[in-house]
Amino acid sequence: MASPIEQQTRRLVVAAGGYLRNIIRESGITCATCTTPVDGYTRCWRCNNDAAIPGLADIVVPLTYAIAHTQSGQVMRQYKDDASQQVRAAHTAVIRRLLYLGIVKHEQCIEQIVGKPVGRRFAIPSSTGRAGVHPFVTLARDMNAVDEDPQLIPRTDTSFGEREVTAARFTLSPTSIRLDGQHVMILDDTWTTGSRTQSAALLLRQHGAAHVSIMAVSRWIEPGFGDNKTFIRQRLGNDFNPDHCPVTGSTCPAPGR
Amino acid sequence: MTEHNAHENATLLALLRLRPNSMGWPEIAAEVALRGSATALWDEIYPAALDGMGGSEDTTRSEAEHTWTQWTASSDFDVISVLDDRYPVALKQIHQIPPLLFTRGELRPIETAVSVVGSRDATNEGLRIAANVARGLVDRHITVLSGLATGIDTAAHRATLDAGGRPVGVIGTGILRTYPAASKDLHREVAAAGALVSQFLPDAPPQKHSFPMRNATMSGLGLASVVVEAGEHSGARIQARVAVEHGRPVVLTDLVVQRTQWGQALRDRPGVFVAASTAEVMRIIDRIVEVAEEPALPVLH
Repeated sequence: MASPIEQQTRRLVVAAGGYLRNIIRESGITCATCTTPVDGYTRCWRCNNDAAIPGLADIVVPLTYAIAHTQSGQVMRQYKDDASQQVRAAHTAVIRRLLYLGIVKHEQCIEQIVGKPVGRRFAIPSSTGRAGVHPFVTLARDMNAVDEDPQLIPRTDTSFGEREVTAARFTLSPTSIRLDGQHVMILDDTWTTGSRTQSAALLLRQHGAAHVSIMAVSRWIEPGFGDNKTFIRQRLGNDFNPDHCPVTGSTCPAPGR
Repeated sequence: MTEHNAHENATLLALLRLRPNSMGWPEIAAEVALRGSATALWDEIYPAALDGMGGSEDTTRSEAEHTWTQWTASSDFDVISVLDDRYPVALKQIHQIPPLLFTRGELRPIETAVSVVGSRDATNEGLRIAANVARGLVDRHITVLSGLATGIDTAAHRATLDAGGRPVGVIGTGILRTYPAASKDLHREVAAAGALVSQFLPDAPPQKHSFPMRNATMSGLGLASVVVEAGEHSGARIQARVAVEHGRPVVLTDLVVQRTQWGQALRDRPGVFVAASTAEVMRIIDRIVEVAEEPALPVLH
């Protein structure tokens, strides 16, 4: 009898291994923070610009690349907003398996780098245009990755720039919650600029978190931007392997599971 | 069909004709599916002019209304857009969503279907396997998808019809064309017992680039693709590749793996299975159907 982890690994690989791609971590090839392709620099323009902001996450770990106009991009967009419930459910299953395997196989790798076990996880809700609970928060709750409370709530009573990294984007509910000394992990669906997710990191620090890590299901890539087409062709040819470590870009830091 | 739907569909057709910002058809289909509306996308791209006067795009939209009315009035075919509840759910999950489907017969929004494809120049052994696999699918009440080409496709469709099953033919021309011309009767029989589907404008002739697009659609309509026998440059090769890229399982017979380099290369990719007999193909299909029916979503403890 296969273990649940083996079973989920097999299912994810059969249903999505042919289009999902492991992230690349190589200095000068991809951003040291968010893993987007860079042209010889340590960090991408956005992450480099934000680097001086105090309180950003200790580590950002996307699990895959989501490439616009391909199946991976399609899944990451349609899972939350397709008009058809069945389409949303089919794509949600892929994302849920991906996140589950990311957590069971590689949360410990993040803990290894950060130096402290994860005390609590939070899921990032989307900011606008959606009534009720955000699909990603629902997904994370359904799989027991996060609790119903405390939770991150987008604020509507503050104003900030579209790309601004500021704790004012979110509030924690209940507001009295303390995370003193803890390592908290933020779960996110798609990292594009990271400004929303990093904003949540700042807020969690205000509540006392000593360490903040981010696990994002995907890093969004536009093939039309810069040399991304070449990067995709030359570096993203291999099928997805859930055991490939998203923290190191190769094998898991010792001790592995 | 309500007037609202007709307006939505005509707006979708106008967007396909205008291709704003050089958007491709699948991209337009995906954006429309996200909004559940073509007019919502239209209004984002073409904000209403302050003076109430439309530009040339409004002319395109009126012309599209006219075309749409003609299409829906046709007794020769049906037209189903990505906004329609009748549009197949499985096909809406791939990134090459065809915005429009022209059909004859009955297309179903939800059904269990498997492609049986292969080369035009098939051996007797290949034809025999294609027929056996098709019969095995019919026994399981699984719809048999194929492309109405000569060789393997014809054998799969014919066996499906003879066994009283449901064939769906996915064609690479407009619905008003028949290619190859000799398969006119088969087209008719497939439409009568199942459905004939085209993603191209009704009069579109056979074109080289249409057939790979057709294979992507066939992969998208099905739960899996079985490649029975294929050459090094067969269209079935394209279907196998795009199916892997869609996350839809592929079953290759050992004929394909032994006789083609691409079959050799593909066997190690995710979701690709190799079968040495019809019985093995069917065992793999049974397992794929079983997995599809039991989502078994993961939960952390």
